Amino acid sequence: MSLTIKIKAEQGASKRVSLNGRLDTITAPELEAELDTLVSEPVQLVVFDMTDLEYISSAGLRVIFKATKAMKAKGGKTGILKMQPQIKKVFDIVKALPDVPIFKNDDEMDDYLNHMQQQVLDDQ
Amino acid sequence: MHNRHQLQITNRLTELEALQDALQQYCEQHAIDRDVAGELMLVAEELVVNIINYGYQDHSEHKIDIAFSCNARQLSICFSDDAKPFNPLSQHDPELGLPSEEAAIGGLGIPLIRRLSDAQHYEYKEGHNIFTVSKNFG
Repeated sequence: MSLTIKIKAEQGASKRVSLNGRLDTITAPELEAELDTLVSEPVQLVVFDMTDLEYISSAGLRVIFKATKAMKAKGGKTGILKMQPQIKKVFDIVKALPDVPIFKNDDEMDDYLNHMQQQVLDDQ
Repeated sequence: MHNRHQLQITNRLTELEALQDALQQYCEQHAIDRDVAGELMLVAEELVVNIINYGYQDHSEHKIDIAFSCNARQLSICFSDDAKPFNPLSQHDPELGLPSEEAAIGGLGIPLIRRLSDAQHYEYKEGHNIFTVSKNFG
């Protein structure tokens, strides 16, 4: 099994990174390269859509952590949309990223994006 | 332990695929539950990647011997390598649960190996690290 990565623009300066398949030692470098590029763009929120992510190892976690740190360093954020139970178990074991929001479904994510948009407008 | 299957890989990360395929096949042959197989895959990946990344000081090719065995209750994987003496579980877990700015990026494989397997055994014998990991299934 391999990894398919799809990047799609969402509302505001947000991007959805959909991961389909396995994120392991072999496939992680490809995601890392994509994320290095993505983070350098004017993006405020990167949401990892893990609906179809079947497997994640520490190599995969490392890439997600790295992107989260990079986003935070530039005043942005990451989020996660939908984790399959075996993925959630891995995150729970390493107590990964307690400060990253996890959206159970698209509605929750859209609410968050709307809220973010509103905050930007309020601040202006 | 019966139903033994052995394979040998070299110390290159691309060899992980060979291990994955062999373990996948072995689990299917022995009708191992998908979730259990997935967790075993993860433990195996973390262990073999540790060996490949940290075991060798030289740039030579080394062989890693891997054996699967199982009975009605348990599946075991044994890794044997001639890297420098190293027990992956002798390392402390990195601090877990830190916010992203402070979170450790490395060492996350160790808690995964511990929590996703039921027994682990390490010995250094005749110039080889021998690490055996077992997982129970219903």
